[in-house]
Amino acid sequence: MKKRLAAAVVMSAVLTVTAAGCGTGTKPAPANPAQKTDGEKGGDAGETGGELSILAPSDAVNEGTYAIIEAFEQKYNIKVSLELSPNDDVLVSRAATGDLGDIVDWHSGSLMLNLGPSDNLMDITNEKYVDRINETYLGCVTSDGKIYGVPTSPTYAGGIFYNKQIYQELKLEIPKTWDEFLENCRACKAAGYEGLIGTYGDPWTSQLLLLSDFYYVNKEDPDFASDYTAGKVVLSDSPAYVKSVEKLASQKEVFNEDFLSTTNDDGWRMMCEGAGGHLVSRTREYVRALEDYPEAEDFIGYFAVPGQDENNMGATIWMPHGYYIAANAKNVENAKLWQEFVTTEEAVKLYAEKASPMGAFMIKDIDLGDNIRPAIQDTMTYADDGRISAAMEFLCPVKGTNMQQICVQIGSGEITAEEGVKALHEDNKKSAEQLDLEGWK
Amino acid sequence: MRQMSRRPKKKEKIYKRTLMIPAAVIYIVIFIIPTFSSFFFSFTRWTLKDWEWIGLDNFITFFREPSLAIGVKNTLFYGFVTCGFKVVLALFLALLLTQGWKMEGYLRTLIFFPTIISTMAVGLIFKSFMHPSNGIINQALSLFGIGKVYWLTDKRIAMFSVAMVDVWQGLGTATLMYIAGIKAIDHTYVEAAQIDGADVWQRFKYITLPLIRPAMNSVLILSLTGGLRNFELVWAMTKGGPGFTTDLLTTVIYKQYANGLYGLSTAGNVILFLLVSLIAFPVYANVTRKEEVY
Repeated sequence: MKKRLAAAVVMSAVLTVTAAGCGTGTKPAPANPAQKTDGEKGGDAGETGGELSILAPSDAVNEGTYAIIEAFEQKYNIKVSLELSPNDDVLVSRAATGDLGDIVDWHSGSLMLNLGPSDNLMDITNEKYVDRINETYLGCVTSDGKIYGVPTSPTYAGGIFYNKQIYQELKLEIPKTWDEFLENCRACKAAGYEGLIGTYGDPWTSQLLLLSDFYYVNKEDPDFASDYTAGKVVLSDSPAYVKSVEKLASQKEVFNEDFLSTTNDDGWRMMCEGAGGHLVSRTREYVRALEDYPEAEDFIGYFAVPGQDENNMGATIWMPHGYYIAANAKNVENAKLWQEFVTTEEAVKLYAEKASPMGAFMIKDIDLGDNIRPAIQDTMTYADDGRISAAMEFLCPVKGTNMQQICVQIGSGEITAEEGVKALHEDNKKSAEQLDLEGWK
Repeated sequence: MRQMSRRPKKKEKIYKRTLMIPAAVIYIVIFIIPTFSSFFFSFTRWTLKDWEWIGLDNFITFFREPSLAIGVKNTLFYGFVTCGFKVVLALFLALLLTQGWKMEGYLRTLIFFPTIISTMAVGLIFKSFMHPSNGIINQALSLFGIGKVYWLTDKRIAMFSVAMVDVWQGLGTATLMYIAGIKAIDHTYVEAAQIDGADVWQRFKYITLPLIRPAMNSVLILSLTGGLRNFELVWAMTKGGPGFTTDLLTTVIYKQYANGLYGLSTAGNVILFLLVSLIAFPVYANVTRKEEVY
């Protein structure tokens, strides 16, 4: 009898624990402060009401996004439900199966095509608020002549983040050529710091150096991007591109020891703790890292990837993600209201307040105010001088799918720069064929 | 009185067959049709909207490109290495655990624990163990003066490291199957051999080994086919990296699919199917032939 009772007790305990464990954590990560505010807040209430669902990659949202959501909810009395997805692939599948909800936050440029805009997204070419958007950006959210998205956030620049304190200590100056840069890295290494922090533990970061170097490719031959799209040239036809790949290969000697296992978060932590001299990254990652290490703002600076010519250093910029409306959205009016709201100065200011901007906004006639971090100000000097270029993926739809792995191979010395250029082109070929591009077959 | 088995009347036959129809329909729709349609689509370049016949191009690309061909090579390595280790080590462990020790029950439970942990969790845990500087494996080794080992990033041993974790996790099931096999051996054989003066090694070689053949075959087939199709562990530990070093066919297939290259991904799946079939069936036929039933 006793045995039975004991067994029953244990069973029920096990079942309860299992049930409790199963109950949590099956929903996608819920946001947020936004969900706490209810439509009953008053404000300009009574205007619209209803709901709006937004689907976004979890690393695309920050405090600024939440601020905009909250303001939007109050202004229009619409309940916003934000769903975050940790994985890009999931969003592509959901687009294909028509399961996007109302609004989706996704890349612009060549990656926008992954969502199948002509089938899965709503055309907003004739909406009024489209006029407020910068033309360069519009070019990146257009497919087949139709416009689909509005910018979610500012542009961001890619380049090298450096430790100002270490530079002061070792009396280093901002390098004007790539060779000078390697010299600086070696000096840091000799002094006991990491010369260049590599974060190949997250393979996607391996491409950042190559992508941020596109300014030089574009400067050398402004037609390269369109010629490449048309299949008229191959990668090795651009000496600047070959040089970019060679830069990738030259990092190995100044990388930290465990660069293959260091993740992006680890790398930024090392940078913010003052352990490293340089880190190749983008202002997007910089802004996110500073949310965890605000004091690091004082000693982290930025300069663009140096080229060969000391009088011509330029930065490469990424266009921000876009908010797109799903073709089968249920709350179409609310979705359009959202797109419009996001392009107003009010929303931009809210964003800039909460999430210190990572670059210039792609919306016309906006006054940003003073809340700009030092490294971002460094990037703006390039923009002011006109020494900028959009990244390749915004000028050319061809981007191979294995680029990150090939860059890891080049950066770790597994293959030579020459082999790397060939491999990248072969990889691009597969994507071009899948996209059905003329000139590539 | 003689007993004859009744031959089923026609009505009964139809009744039995009708009952099978729902299951058959589901099987055909969910398994047979997709399998054959994937054979077809592997010869095309397809998107969710339309497809274009390109013949053997996908397969040629698969074997020509180093980043894809390495998947085939690694899959074979992984399948055979994990299978080999599991078959041998689990037998050894099973023999240990059938000696009649007091702690046996507890030890058997302990051995089985890794199997019930989610593979992704095992992968992530061992990934952190294997970190070159912060991982506890290297920290423990440094106590003995052994330098840093790059478990997951050194081209030469990365695949092997992942395989070892797979073995760690899979030993539980394999050992249990062997134990069942060993326990099924009729003790009279052992006694007879002991009376005849056979020593431990001879008893093992001539009695235990032949009689656990069925268990050994199960372990062999299951580990081989499972190993060839492994995905979660490699994905959790390295995602096929660094570069393409630890890519298996399954991760290659996944990456092609995730990047929208559906035709290539389907071709990869067909190759995997053929690979597993071409290996598993002959092995199965060969080893079960040798099975002795007493």
